[in-house]
Amino acid sequence: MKRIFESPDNSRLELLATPSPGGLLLSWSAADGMTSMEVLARRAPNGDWLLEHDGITRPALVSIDRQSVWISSLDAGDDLSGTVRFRRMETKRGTTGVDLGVRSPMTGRVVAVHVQEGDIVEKNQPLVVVEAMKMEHVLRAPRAGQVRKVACQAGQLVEGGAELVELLDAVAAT
Amino acid sequence: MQKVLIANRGEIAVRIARGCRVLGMRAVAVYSEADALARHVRAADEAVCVGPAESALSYLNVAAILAAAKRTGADAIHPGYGFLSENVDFMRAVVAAGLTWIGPPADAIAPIQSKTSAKAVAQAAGVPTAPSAILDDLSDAGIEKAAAFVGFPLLVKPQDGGGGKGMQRVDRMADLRTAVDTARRIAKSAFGSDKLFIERYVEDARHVEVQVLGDTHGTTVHCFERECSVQRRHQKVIEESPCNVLTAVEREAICESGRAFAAQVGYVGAGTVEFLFDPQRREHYFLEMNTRLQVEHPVSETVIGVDLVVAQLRIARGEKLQDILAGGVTQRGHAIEVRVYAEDPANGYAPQAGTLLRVRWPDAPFVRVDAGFESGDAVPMFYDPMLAKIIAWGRDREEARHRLMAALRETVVHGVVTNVPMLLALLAEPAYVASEVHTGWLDKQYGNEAPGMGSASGLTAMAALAAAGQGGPLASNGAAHAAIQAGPATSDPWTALAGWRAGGAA
Repeated sequence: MKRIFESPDNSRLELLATPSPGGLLLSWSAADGMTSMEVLARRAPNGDWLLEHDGITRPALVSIDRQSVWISSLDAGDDLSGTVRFRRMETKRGTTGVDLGVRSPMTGRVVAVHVQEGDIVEKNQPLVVVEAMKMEHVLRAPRAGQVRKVACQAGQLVEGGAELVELLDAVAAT
Repeated sequence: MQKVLIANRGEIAVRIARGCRVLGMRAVAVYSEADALARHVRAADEAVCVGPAESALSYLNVAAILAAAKRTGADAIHPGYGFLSENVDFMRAVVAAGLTWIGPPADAIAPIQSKTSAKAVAQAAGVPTAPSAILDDLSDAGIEKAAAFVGFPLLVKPQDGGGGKGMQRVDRMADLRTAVDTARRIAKSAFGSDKLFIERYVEDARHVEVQVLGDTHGTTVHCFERECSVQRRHQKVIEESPCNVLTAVEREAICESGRAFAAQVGYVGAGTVEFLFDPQRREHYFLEMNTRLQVEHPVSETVIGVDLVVAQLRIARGEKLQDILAGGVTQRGHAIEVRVYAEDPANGYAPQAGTLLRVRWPDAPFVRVDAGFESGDAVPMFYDPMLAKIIAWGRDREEARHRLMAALRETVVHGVVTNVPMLLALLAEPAYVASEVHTGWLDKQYGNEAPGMGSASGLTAMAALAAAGQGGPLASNGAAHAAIQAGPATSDPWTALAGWRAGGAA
C-alpha cells in the first residue's frame, strides 16, 4: 500500500511497502529518484526497531502522532542523523493534485490571515501569522499552488500541528 | 527544617527535590492546573495545586503558595530561578509567615535591584565597573577630556533616555563632536532633556560570572567562574566552567571581585555576580548580581564537586561555610552545559508545545542530565520551553566537548521539535572550538536561520517509516515483538496508520 509523506525539507516522498519472503519490500520515490530494497523489521521489547538489510542491523526509534512519524537513529549511516520528522500527506478523492496542508508549528493564536480560498500563491508567500509566547511566526507556502481552503481566522487559538491552510499543488492547480 | 516547599516547576523543581532528599528533608511541589501530571509533581513527596495555568495565577500567586506551605506543614521555601525567586515582597511575606527563606535576606538585595544602585555598591566594594562620565562640560576640550577618561569605542547616551534612543557608538575622537551634537538634538526632542553621558563600549565582550556563597556567620566565598558568552538574544545557550581565556591572575581577580561584591551587601546563600570581560584590554566590569540559584549552576557543581542546592539548604539552617565546604573549593577539569529547548531554530525559534511521544535522555559516563520531562509528558504552551540541561565533564575542554556531542547524538525527543541539532552544530563551530566567541557571536552567526532537523531519504529512514506501520496490530503483545518479523504475518503494514487523517485537528 502506498503512502505519501512530506520530508523535513518539504519535498514529497512516496513510499510503497509490500510483504515479501525476506521481510518487507520497500520502494520509494523522492527527489533523487526511485529506489527499491528489502528490509526485515524486528521490534525489541522496549519498542525500539531493529532494521536489517543485507545482513546488517541498524537500530531506530519511531513514534507516531496524528500528523507525523518521528524517527531517530544512533547510526547516522548514509541518510539519517539524529531525529527527523515526516509529515503524512493524503491524496484526497476528487482531486488529482496533492494536498499540502500548512500547519501551525506551535500552539498559539492566529494574528493574521493573508490569503483567501482560490488564491494562487508563490513558493514562500506568507499565508498566516501565528503568535505564541510573544513571538510572531509567519507560515509560508512550501511550494507554489492554489489555496483550496482556509481553516482558520484571525484571533483564533490553534493547536500545534493544526492544519490552517490547504494548498493544491501547482501541477494540479493549473 | 524538615520539609521544603519548592515554588517552581520543571527541571529545577526536580533538582531541588533531589537536594532535599540528600539531607533527609521532604519536598513539597506546587503546580498549576496545566501541570497536574508533570514530572516535578511526581518528583516530590507531596504536591498542592496553586491555581490555573497562567503563571500570574499560579506560580506567581503568593497567597496560594503560602497557603500550600501551611497546608502541608512545610517550614521553608526554595524559589528556584525565575518566577518569585528575586521578588523582595515575596521574600518578606515568606519570613513574615514564619517560614525559612532559602535565599538571601531581602535587606541584602534591595539595594542592588536597580542597575544604578548596584553599580554604586560595586564601586564601594572596589569592584571594577565600565568607565563612564557625565558630559557636563560640552566644550570641545570638555568632551575630549571625558572621552579620554572613558576610552574608545564608547557609547554616547542620553541621561534621561531609554530604549536605545539617541544612543550612538563612537570609535574615535574625530567623530565625537558630531555624535554629541546629534545625540543632544535627539535627546532634547525625545526626552525633553539634552543631558548626556558616555560609557565604555566593550567590543567582543565575553560573559563571565562568579558563583558565590555566603553564610549567616559573615563568611563569603567564591566558587570560581562560569563563561556564558554563547547567547541568543541575551538568553544563554551554552555555559561552561572554567572560562578558558582567563589567565590564573585574571581568574583570581574576577573571582575576588565577585566575592567582594557579595560580601559588601552581606549576601547569604548562593548567588552569581556577572561581569563583562574585555578580551582586548584584559579587564572585567561589573554587570549585575543574580540573587538566586542559576540555571547553569551544574557546570560549577561539576568542576568543584559541591552540591550547591544542598549548600543552600545547609546555609539556610544556619550551618557554617567552613563545615559545608570543608577542605576548600578547587576547580577540576572542565564542564560544558547546553540547554535543550522545545523550539524550532529553523522556524524563527518558534516555541513548541505538545506531547512528548518519546524521550530518551543520554546516559553515559561523565554526563549529567537535569530534565523536567519524560516520555509521555505534556509541554504546555504557558511556560519557558526548556526541557532539560545536559552537562558533560572532561579533564579538559575538548574531552568535555566530545562527551557532550556524543550525549546529544544519543538524545531522542519525539513529539516536539527541539534545538538539539542546532546545539550539535554550535559545539562543532570552529569559533566555538577555538573559544573565540563573544556575547554577540551567536546572533551574528545564526540570526534567525539556524540548523533545524536534517533531511532523510535513504534506507534507514524508509525502513523505519515502513516499520512504523506495523506497530499497531502487534502492540498489545510485548513478547511477540521480539520474535515477529515483518512479512507474511502482517498483510498490510499500514494497518496502524489507518486511523490517521492529514491535518488531524481539522
